Amino acid sequence: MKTNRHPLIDFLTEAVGAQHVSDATHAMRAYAHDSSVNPPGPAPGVAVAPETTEQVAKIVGKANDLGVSVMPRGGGANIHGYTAGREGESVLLDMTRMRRVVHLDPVSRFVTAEAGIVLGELSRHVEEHGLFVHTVGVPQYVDSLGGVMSGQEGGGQNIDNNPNWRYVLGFKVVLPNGAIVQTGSGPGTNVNAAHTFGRTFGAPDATGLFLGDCGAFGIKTEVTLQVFPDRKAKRAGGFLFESFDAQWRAVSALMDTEPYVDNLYTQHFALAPESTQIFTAGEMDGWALLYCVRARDEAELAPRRAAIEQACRENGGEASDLLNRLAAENYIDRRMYETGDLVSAGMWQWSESICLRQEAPKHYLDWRDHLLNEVDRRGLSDHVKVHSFIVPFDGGRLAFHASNLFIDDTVEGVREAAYEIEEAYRKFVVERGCFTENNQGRDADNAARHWSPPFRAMMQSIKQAIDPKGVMNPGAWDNL
Amino acid sequence: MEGGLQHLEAKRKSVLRCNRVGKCKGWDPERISPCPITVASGGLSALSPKGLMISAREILSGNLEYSEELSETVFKCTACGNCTSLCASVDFETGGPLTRPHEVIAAMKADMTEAGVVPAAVKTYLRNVYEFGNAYAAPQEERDQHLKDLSVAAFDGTHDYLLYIGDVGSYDPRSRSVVRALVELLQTAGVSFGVLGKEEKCDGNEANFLGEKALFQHIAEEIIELYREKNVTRIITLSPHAFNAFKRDYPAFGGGFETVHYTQFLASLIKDGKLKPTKPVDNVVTYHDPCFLGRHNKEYEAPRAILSSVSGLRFVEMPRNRENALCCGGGAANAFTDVLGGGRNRPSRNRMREAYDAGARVLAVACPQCMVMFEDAVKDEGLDANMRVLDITEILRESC
Repeated sequence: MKTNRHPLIDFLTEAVGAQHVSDATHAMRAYAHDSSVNPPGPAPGVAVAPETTEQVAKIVGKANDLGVSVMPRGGGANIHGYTAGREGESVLLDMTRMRRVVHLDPVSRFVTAEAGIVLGELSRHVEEHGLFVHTVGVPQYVDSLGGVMSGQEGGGQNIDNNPNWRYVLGFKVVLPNGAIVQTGSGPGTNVNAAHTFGRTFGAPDATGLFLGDCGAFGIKTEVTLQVFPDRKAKRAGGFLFESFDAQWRAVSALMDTEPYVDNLYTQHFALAPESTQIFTAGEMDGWALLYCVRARDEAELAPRRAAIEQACRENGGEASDLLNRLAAENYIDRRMYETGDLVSAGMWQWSESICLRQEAPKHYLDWRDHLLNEVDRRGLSDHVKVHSFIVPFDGGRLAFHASNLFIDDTVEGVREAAYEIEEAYRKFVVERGCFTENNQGRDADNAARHWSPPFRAMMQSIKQAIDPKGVMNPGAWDNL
Repeated sequence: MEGGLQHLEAKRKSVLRCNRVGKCKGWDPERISPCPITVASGGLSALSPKGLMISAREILSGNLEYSEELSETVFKCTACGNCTSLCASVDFETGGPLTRPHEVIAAMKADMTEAGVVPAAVKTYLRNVYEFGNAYAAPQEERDQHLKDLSVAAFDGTHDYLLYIGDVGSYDPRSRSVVRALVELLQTAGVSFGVLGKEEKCDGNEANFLGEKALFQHIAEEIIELYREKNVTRIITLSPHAFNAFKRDYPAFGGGFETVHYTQFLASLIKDGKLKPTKPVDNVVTYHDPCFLGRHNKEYEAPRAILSSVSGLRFVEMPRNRENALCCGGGAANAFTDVLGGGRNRPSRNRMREAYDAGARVLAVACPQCMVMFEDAVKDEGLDANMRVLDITEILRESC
């Protein structure tokens, strides 16, 4: 039994009710883990599950007064490293109860939801109204909206128009002093406004400050996002190519011919041979291009699909029933992201990197080979499978590479080795002048180590101004 | 703490394979979680099955020890199996499950029970079963007192079936009336059956799921020996819990009896024309799948077949049914220990609201423990003027 009670436990109990507060040792140890292969982080001192922004404000304000650190937690994915904090001290805010859709405006096309909602539930709610919301290509029923906004903000779910920060209109944020701030052009910057209009009417883009901040500047409790009319007609398929070069030529041709600008869903995943072997149980050897295209109706869909197929055939691609099935499972059934099947098969470890599209051929094979060599060098080929793909995004401006490690972590040492492999990969990418996708946990630290001195000084000033006692998720950016 | 990790160690692979996705918690924000301990966790995910899977990993890694406070969380698990049904840990090659959280939690219970680290109410329950042969600490002689006027034969080895009534059916007043209905139906159909009366003992299913493996083995071996002496070969059980124990766990101790749940048996009697539910039952009825009949033993259709055969009855399904049915909260002896607690979010009350919202005015059950839980829930919800809890036998008897 504990001998020392956390100094805030009575306050928290009073604030939210005893059933929503725990300092049980096993619970604190559990919160030290996330769903990645990362080693456990610091265990918090107490956990609390607030239900309202006002409760969050009360808790954060009190913690700040006492100099006690606060660490937010959403779905617990944290695939790029544990939520930081201080061992045995931090107040962990479990945002699970804050998962309501606050407001959906189908005419002006925006949705406001609480930060603890998981992405799949947000999408489902929006889709029930014939609308679509951009989320991210992560397990849709694991990752929370607040977690994604605080760290993972890249793409995969809706490639052409990602990254999804394009569609964030504003946040409701609790600052370290307990103040509740509404960013975006809405009631925060015009007290007479009822809703957020955009990002920069009436003030600078304060929303951007909190995007990808790991919760180091404040606790996001609500997020307002743009929504769009849904596209109901959809087709998915796949082509097999003999070489990466041939495949990438097809991808590039698609970027030039496929009218992606107003198409919310077109995706082009280029899969490496070992990836197709993972998914198809070793039946394929080649470079696969998977696509999904959506449109308002079949008439609009048909020419788009034809353009994709033509670009693939002209560059040596061969249609494949197996890949058609794989693409349908992935995109139409949304099996990969919606059910978490891939994650459940061990693919929880992501190694991503981002570069300009025209530089993708140069970087991609190096990045992929780096991972394959690291696995091979450790003699782990039987226990760690590399699933590698590359995909253009942001309207074809950028390329996103992900190598997901399927690990058999029932074998001793594999988990730790996977952690080391990914760590080395991230350094490799950043040192080459590119970026890993995220801003969270150890990835944030990896990124911050490469900041320029003036940028670092600016960030330190901002952090000092907003969080002078350094209570917000300490350790997320160690270099600050 | 005395004791070891042998039961959890046996589940090591399952523990390590858990990717901590958290699907086991359920995640529909518009509906309450199907996992009783998640509901009881107050939104603290570390106290959900996902959190307990991490606790199990920490214990196996030597970073955490079994403790009184851990037992307070672990023993809230009602062994409903919803977490395992929801678990996303799929073997990509076989499509089968890789992780079974409720079995890992049961293994933790077993280790803790061996070490004596269990909540007081659990200790009392187990002591009653051990000392008195039943969970009520009641005299064995009272087991079949309520059947005296029905001329039920004592099983003597010449009967086709042993009717195993179980603790709840023997001692709980409401469930006793269910047993009477079942007996009358069996007699109407001309079934050759008998009961063991004061020789009947608790089947031990709950002790097993509370992790008291030695007690369960002792009970199973004692019952198997008695049944062999009595020449029991075929058993009809009232409770899905007993059905589960006889069918799934007793064979490990040499008890290979042909066991059917009464709903399966009654459905076959209707099919064979030995029961004819022709009198109209004018009501809107829904059915609650008991965890140990449904998820644990995959019997979803027999109860529905009985209800669909009843003249005049209008059947409605609750949104969550069969594999996805909510738990009543009574499993793993929680009907006796109430370690779970829960107030308005008690599983039985959530389920009662679902039944009512589905438009039903009768909640049909097929388990005496569910009956106990829902009889309380219908009152706690203030629905007792609008809603009745009836066992399927009672509905069928009214129609036959």
